[in-house]
Amino acid sequence: MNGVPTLHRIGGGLVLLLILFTPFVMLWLGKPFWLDIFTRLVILAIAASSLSLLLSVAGLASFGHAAYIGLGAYAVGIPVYYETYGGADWLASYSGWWHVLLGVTVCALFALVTGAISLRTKGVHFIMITMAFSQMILYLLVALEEFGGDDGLSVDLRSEFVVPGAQVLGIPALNMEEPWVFYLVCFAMLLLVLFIVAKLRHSHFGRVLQAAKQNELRVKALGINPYRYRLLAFVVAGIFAGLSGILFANYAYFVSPSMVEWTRSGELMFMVILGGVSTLFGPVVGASVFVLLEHFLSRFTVFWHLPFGILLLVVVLFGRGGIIGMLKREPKT
Amino acid sequence: MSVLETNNLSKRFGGVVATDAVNLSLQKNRVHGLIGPNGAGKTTLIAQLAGQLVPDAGRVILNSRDITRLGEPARVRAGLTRTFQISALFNDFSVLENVAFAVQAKAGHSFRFWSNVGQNKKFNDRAHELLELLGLSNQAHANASALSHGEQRQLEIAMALATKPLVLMLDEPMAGMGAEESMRLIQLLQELKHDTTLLLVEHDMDAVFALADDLSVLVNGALIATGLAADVRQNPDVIAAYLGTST
Repeated sequence: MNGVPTLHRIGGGLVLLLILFTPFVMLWLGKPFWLDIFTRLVILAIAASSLSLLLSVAGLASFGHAAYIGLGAYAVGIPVYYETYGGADWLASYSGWWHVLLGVTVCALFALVTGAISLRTKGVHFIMITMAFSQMILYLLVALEEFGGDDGLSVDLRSEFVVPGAQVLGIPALNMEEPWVFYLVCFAMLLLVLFIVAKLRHSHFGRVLQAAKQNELRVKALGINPYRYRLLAFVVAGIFAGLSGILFANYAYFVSPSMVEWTRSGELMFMVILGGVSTLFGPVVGASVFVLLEHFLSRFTVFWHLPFGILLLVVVLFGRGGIIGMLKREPKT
Repeated sequence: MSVLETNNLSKRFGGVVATDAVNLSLQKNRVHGLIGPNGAGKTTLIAQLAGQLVPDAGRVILNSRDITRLGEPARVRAGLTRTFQISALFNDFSVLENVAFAVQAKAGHSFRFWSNVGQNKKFNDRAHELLELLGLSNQAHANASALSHGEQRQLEIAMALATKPLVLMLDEPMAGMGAEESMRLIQLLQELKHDTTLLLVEHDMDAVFALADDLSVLVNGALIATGLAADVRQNPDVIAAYLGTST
């Protein structure tokens, strides 16, 4: 009974170690650009993991998750812009703490309001309404002429995480401009998000979400209204996606409305489904496969989306548990 | 003493009167049978008692408290629980987890994020007790979807009991059960009425007559007879409705 989860945990640990060390091995082999690819991979894995809390645990197919990435990214882009070029002193700052506070607050509020409305609907309606809210953010960002509108905004400096008093104690400041330091920060964030999602999944709270996913009628007939639990999950997932957006703005030195396009939300869903919806590490595997395939396929052809789509079809048709599900399944005898 | 009663409960769907001014009264620690031909409105009535359907008129009173406006989860917390005609289980959960979750639902809010609920001893112990009571102990770790039809019916009841209901409404609990399973369930329900009050909707007349202390007969949404089971069985209207000689 205990064998499968343990194996799964070991497998997940291996995947994480592989992700952690590959860019350094490649750096050693003289291919430093892999650090860049893996940084993007880890950031997308954070976003996909946050979506999996909704999609896998709660069974809520939110199709507007990219909105939170955009909000998180602009929570870096706008304060840095003002700090660099002047204006809006109350907002302007290079401080990463301020960016996180701002991003988390905005994402939590946006999730609270849109979730409160969206969660009153079900199925296709839920998908459409979450997508509609995300489109609203897209058009809002496009309309912000001051921040470049359609063209976006470049971020001149990465967020600065200064711990007050740390220098006095001789602890060096975190230099986010150093690519491998930034990579380790992203990786640590991924671990934190995975840890919290795993904790939530097995908690009282997580069991309500899972039960409501399977049979909402029955949950109500046992005396629980799943609405508030789902709303909280929606807010938590929004905050985590916002964190990935904050990292993404730092990674790309650039924010733009294209981060919020609905295809971005679709790609996140793709990663979760590709990796496997019933497991903690599924989204990480899905994001890895997505980024690596994108890298290799786009070398061969600009139409790399076509083989990509075929792959998704194959995984959905033949591997109901995604890639991890296919690996986990015992061979038929 | 009346635990659950309805006053002129009415519900229409377009031109069809599904529930016609029903006055039902359940006495404490008794089994109340509700019978009627197909389409008489039994399930519609249960749905209104459970809070899934809002009645057009009339009131539902639980322990002297008007619960007509309460939603379904709030009614369950107030002590009014139902089972489903078609088993409504959590198919990805194990049998034990199904019941443990029902115990969790009774235990208060679930905004707890840290401890592993699967290792909650209080929930699991109570769930094991209930499984023992329903004779499902040796299936505790099987997936709920792997159970036989009859076992799923029993799990359904175990989950409802986990909410410690004042009134338990059983919507055709014997449907699709084998004779032996039915016998076992009849015995169990017989014992249950010491702790709770039962409303039994059932097509199996042997089971109804074996269990019901009181009996109500629903025809075209209206109660045509209600009272002691022995009396209702002799009622000429009831005999007519069931034999179909006149309407």
